[in-house]
Amino acid sequence: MRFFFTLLTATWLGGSLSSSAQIYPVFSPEITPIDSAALDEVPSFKWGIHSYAGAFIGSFQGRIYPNMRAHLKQQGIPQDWTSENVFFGFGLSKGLFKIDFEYTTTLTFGPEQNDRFLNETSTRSFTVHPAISIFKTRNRTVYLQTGVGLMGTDLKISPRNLTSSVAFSQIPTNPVVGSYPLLRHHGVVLDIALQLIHTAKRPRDLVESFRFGYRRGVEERAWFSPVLTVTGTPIDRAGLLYFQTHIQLSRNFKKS
Amino acid sequence: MITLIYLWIWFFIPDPPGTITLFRTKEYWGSGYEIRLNGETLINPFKSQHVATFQLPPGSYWLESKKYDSQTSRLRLEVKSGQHYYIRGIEDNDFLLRALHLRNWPESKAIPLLQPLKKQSILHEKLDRIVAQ
Repeated sequence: MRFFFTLLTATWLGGSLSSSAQIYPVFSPEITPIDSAALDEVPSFKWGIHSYAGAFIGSFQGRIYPNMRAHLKQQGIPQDWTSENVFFGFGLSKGLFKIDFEYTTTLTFGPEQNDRFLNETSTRSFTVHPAISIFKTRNRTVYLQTGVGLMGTDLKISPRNLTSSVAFSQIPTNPVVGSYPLLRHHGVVLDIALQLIHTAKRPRDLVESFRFGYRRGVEERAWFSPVLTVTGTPIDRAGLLYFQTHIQLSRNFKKS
Repeated sequence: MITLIYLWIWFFIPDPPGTITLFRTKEYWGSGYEIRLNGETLINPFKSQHVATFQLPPGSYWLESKKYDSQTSRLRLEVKSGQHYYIRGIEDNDFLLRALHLRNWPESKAIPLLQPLKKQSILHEKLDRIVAQ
């Protein structure tokens, strides 16, 4: 895994430098004015490959699980349904169409808490997004994206009981009253989103993009625990509203 | 004698100027740029969907576009007497580059594009100063 991330980082740094060097020569002492006559009129790439990534800056998601939310509210447990996310993906584009494969996970900055409970919620998903360009200018393209994938959400709820104490060595054998096991909800989701992205103009390009979307489970499913058989858990149809800011590295080709 | 007078008049009457039509068509999220001629600000800001027309004596000029956060893009203009030049501003606005490119545009393609554009005012005192140089 460490090798994979090292390779990904090296590819990204190299690709970004290589893209920038098309405009800002690395060893040039100063940036010379652009000769207007030397530029392509309109980019006309036939196809391309790309990878993209984004983190908590400009990325946000809100999970929608109404029945679990009602349960937490009833029990006085703090809600933790919104969070920043981290994601990376790769894909292919050809003409008006493109397809993205994406993995998203939650970036947590600590649990929500009140006097009685701590609650930390995290979501991860793997989705595939076919998309069609519905608006394209020299500088910007808008894609209408659909999507299908798997999404899972974990709920870690711990009671707070600071008045009593327990020896560290006895924790494995000493049940905590009011403790929730890890709760999980997962299933197949469908996705629809709009993506605003800079149009690729260079053989190696580095662009930014913004995406706003909604994701919904195909069926209602009960929450369960992977560590304990629990009955009577709330049943929810998963939902997710998200906004993402990407940086995308692409390699574009004029011949098909 | 009359021939000499005609020659004298011909020598001192300046050549008719060349005409420059600078235009930008509709661009979504397009921003305004400063247009400079030989380093003097001629139009500021020059926004999309605008057209400016001015005349220049024959000669060589540098036409440049610049915005505070953009790269300078420039075009060498060789103006000939009585000629009409159409120059189109095309903006690049992406993660790597922000610039307004100035490109010579064929008259036959330019004229249909000019119809819906608004007239852009220019700084005449600057233009007069450039012409006087």
